[in-house]
Amino acid sequence: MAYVIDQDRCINCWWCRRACPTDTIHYFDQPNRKHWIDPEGCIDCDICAQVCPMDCIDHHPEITPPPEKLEAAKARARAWAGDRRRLKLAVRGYAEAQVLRIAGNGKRENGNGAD
Amino acid sequence: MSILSAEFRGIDFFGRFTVETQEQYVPWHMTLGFARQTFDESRHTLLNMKLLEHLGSHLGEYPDIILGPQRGGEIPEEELDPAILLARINVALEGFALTTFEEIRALARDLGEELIEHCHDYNMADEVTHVALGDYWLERLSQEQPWRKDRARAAQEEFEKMLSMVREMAANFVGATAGGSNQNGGTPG
Repeated sequence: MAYVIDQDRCINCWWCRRACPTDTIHYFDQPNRKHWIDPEGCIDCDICAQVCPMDCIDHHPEITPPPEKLEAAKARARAWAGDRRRLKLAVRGYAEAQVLRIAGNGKRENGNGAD
Repeated sequence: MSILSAEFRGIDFFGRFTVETQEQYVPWHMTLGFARQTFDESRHTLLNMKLLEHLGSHLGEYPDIILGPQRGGEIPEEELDPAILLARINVALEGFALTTFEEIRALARDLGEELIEHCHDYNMADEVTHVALGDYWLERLSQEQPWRKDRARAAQEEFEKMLSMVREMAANFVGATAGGSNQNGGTPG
């Protein structure tokens, strides 16, 4: 099973490429200047289809990657998910810490105000 | 504030692009498309100014900043090819903005900031049009000149690497700062 990008409708916004957990969406190696999904790295996670603003990524159950390639891709996806979670928690923690600091002081600490 | 700065920069860039590319005999309907984009950028500017006020700030409270290296000096003439500018700004930068706005939207939703969530959703819809516009015109301009397409693709790749580097730097900064605040009793995730 794998996903396929409709080459005629893709606008090359590279959102799917940035979102792909296995780094299996390519662009710069294409003479036709369009994005494509290498089925050997596709783990059927559906993330690319969900983020695509043109709704031009479809599921093709008839395409099956070799099992060993699929396992390697899943390992890459697990590492990616760990990194993403750490970053998300860090961003959230940073945002909350800033809000609490401003709310607690009633002013911005790094200001050049008269007080 | 840095998004507002980028929107101001967008008005400047697309205003110039609309006018200056006419000297290179681009189709009139391309000019019309980018006039529309300039108008979009000015709407985004107003929207972000209002959001700043909604957060209790105002234009002028923070310095006008944009993340990433700034370019100084003369720009080589071949880099002013509209196909290269479209690849860098419309396709790469505006495409990058899609993810940024989506992340801000998700963060705003987590923090219960409904207005910011709604406005960035609205903003994002325009960015999709901008990327599509850039991609379409890049294709049209380089239809008969494959070398021009290759050159634009190379420029885009280089530009994307720079954007990814900036993004990584920002993530490292947030990671380090959040780690520090947690040690000082900040909220763990």
